[in-house]
Amino acid sequence: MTDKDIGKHEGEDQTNPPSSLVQKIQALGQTSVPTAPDSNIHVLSIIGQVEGHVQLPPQNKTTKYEHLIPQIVAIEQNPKIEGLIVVLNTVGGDVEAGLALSEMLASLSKPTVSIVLGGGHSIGVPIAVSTNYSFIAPSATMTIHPIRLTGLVIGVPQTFEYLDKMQERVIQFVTSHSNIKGEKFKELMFEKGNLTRDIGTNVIGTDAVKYGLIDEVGGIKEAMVKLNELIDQDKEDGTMIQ
Amino acid sequence: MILYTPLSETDIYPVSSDSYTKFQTIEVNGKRLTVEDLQDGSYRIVQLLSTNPHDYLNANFTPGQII
Repeated sequence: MTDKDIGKHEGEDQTNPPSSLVQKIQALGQTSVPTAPDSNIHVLSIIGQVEGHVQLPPQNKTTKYEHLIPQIVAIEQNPKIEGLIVVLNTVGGDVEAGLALSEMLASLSKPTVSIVLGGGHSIGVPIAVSTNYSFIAPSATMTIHPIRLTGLVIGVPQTFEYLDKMQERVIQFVTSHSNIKGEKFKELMFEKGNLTRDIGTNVIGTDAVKYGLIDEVGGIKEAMVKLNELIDQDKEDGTMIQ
Repeated sequence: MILYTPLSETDIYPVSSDSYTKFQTIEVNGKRLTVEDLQDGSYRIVQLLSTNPHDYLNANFTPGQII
């Protein structure tokens, strides 16, 4: 290519930016990208911090519960959606927002499967166990530790009682939605010497299954197989009633 | 500079309210998007908020797109 050619080419680009059609032909070699039919399985990803009553600074990656709750309602209402897969990679966050999400997921009439990838810490634990069946990646971890308060803390015994009640709500939810015993969960929660700056335990994939917290170790393939199995089971039950 | 303090970074350097208002959640063609205001009348897509996995294959909603 000569200098003249290059100059000419650049000039063209500046005056006439390639249209979206041209961009598509350049990138994909065709004008229209095939659109897949509507999916019968929807995905809810819970990433970063679970954001509740307080808006976090923008550099935090957050999952806002006011975004997720209408989506869960829409999933429940849409007859085309047959199942939900919840993907978790969260560091925890607002207790009430997390419990609200967990309760919403637990009360969903459609089959649900959760999968913990990377981490499902703190309030991620109730969210992970709230579904019909739960999976954890072999390398994923879940930190179980006592809840804490931020902001203004009044130094009265009632503060501790409030905190204790809040914690009891989390324990109650986890034990009633998974196979872990309350005793064991509390033992993991108040364990010393496992975490560098905190009381609690960092439970790794296979251990989470061993303690009965999570149903199975697996990845996206296992989760999809299980969800399809649950959907088929759900359909069968539905026809039997009719 | 090294700080030796139990305070969190945001307690020492509060973030400006501007960085909160820069990000908005809007609805485009029935899909909710988190967008960043580029101050010139256009917005950059930061995140798509949808549970439909096929929405993420739509090139128009790819993060980084200017709308």
